[in-house]
Amino acid sequence: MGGNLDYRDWIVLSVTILFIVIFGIYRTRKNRSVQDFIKGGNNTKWWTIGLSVMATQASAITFLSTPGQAFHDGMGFVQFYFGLPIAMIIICLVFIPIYYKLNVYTAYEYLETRFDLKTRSLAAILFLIQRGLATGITIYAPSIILSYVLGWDLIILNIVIGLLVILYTVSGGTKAVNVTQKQQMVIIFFGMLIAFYLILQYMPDGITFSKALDIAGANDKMKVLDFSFDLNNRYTVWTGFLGGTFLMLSYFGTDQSQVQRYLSGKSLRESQLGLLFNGLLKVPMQFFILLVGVMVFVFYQFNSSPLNFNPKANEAVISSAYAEEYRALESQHKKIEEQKRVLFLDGVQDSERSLVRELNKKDKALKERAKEIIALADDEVETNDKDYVFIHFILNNLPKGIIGLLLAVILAAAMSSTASELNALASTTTIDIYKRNVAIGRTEAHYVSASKWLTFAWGIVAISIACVANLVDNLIQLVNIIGSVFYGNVLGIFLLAFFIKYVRGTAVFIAAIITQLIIFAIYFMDVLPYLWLNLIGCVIVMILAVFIQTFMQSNKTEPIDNIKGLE
Amino acid sequence: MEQQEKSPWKIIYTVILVANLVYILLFYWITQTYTIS
Repeated sequence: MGGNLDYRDWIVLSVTILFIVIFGIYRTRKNRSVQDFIKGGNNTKWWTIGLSVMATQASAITFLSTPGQAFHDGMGFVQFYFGLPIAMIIICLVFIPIYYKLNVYTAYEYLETRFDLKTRSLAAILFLIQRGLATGITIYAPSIILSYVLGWDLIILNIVIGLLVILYTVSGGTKAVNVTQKQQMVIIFFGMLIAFYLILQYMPDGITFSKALDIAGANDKMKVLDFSFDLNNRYTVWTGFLGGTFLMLSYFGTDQSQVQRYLSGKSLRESQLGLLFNGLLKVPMQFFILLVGVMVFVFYQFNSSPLNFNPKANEAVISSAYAEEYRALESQHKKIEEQKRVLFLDGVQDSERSLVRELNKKDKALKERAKEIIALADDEVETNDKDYVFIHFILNNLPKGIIGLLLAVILAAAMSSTASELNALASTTTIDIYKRNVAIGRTEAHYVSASKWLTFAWGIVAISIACVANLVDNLIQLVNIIGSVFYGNVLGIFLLAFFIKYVRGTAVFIAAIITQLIIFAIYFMDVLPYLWLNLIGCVIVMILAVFIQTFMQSNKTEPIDNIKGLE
Repeated sequence: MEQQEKSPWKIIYTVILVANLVYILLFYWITQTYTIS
């Protein structure tokens, strides 16, 4: 471990991260009750909730992977978030008032009130599986990338990130998570602004921001909106609104890692405002992060870039029998880069656009062939290099000290998300499984202690998953794929609970199990973009539950109007 | 009284929806301006 970081970067990185951890432990050292530990004492203000919700969603994957996504595929990924504001409003109107009225600690507690214990337990278990996996990826993602580019040991990185988070999350619970996330968001925001500013400064003289956008557009990176109905397009306005609304409804409305953030609100109003803060700012925030990626792309039109940004891929091929062919491809790639650089030095003229298109087509073919060669040299190396673009740019171009700051951004983002996730995993296990099913009627102190031990245990599970994980796709897409496979089903259970009073626990329970199996099947058959799985899962479980209820014995037509706690 | 309590929320929800609509219109303009046809 050590890599090639300058001492200034080490100082900035270490001080920033240690400050967050120590501050988090210090500020929350007096937590005593379950309410303190899980709900942060119920006195969180809306802006803290807003930042906390944002920080929970924006993990290191957002900052490592999203700019790379834009570098390769342009701005279109922003459409993924179009459903978010709609989801926020629905959650404020429907979900939060019910959670508050019932004074629940977890989203799944509500399901027992409405249905029965087994449905509550099933939903909690689906959450634990999905979130458990995702938390492992949240730790793994920054670790694998930093280990490749800095030469740090992967296992040690997983352990360090995991343990730092465990420290303050075990110590202070929800309040520690909230407090540290505010600091983390400040660092993240500050770091990304500086990066953006510096990229623009590094453009050649005469290349203004506007000309940079022109160049990006000429390279097909500025197609923000896609109105096509092509099912093969992962990101369109339609997948964003429809699939995205369902994904976001499920994520923010039923995933305990987010629900716990806003249930810590001082009041119903504070919780609602905190969510709506995200409804207002999330889309521009993601647009900005993608724009950073596009500007990195434009930067590399004037500076040389590798054929593949994954340093392990390059290492694998250079020491193989394919080295000569690879070098020939690199040489052709450099020639294309030079041609484009000359073209773009005075901006891009209309008459040059078809030539640009032609050059990009050739370059793309070179990169595809490079990937084939890499796979031949070593079939275990990741050839998809989207996740390495931004870190490569940071390490090779930014000033000393700023590199440390950007690394702190990435680690802070990883820690903020992991902390929320561990907090939620422990809370759900304590409240929905342990307290409700295993150890009923113990003291407050016992459950606080159980929450802390479970936080620690889930932290170890997450570190372990991180140590055995493997990159299978661009990371930002991987976590959303994992979510999409489970979320539709859980959302459907909640929508049935809120709106279709006719349906009872057993019908929902059976429908949910069948639906989950169907969604697994659809996913593995790979017939649809993953965002649609949210919608499909939700619709299937709802239809199946109604269908099953219709064929069951009791209360076929009478609505359930006397659920305790909702009178 | 309840109507008065509800109207600030209606305004807030409207502001959020309108803001996002403005973002989308901006994105539409960017797409049209910078994308090669």
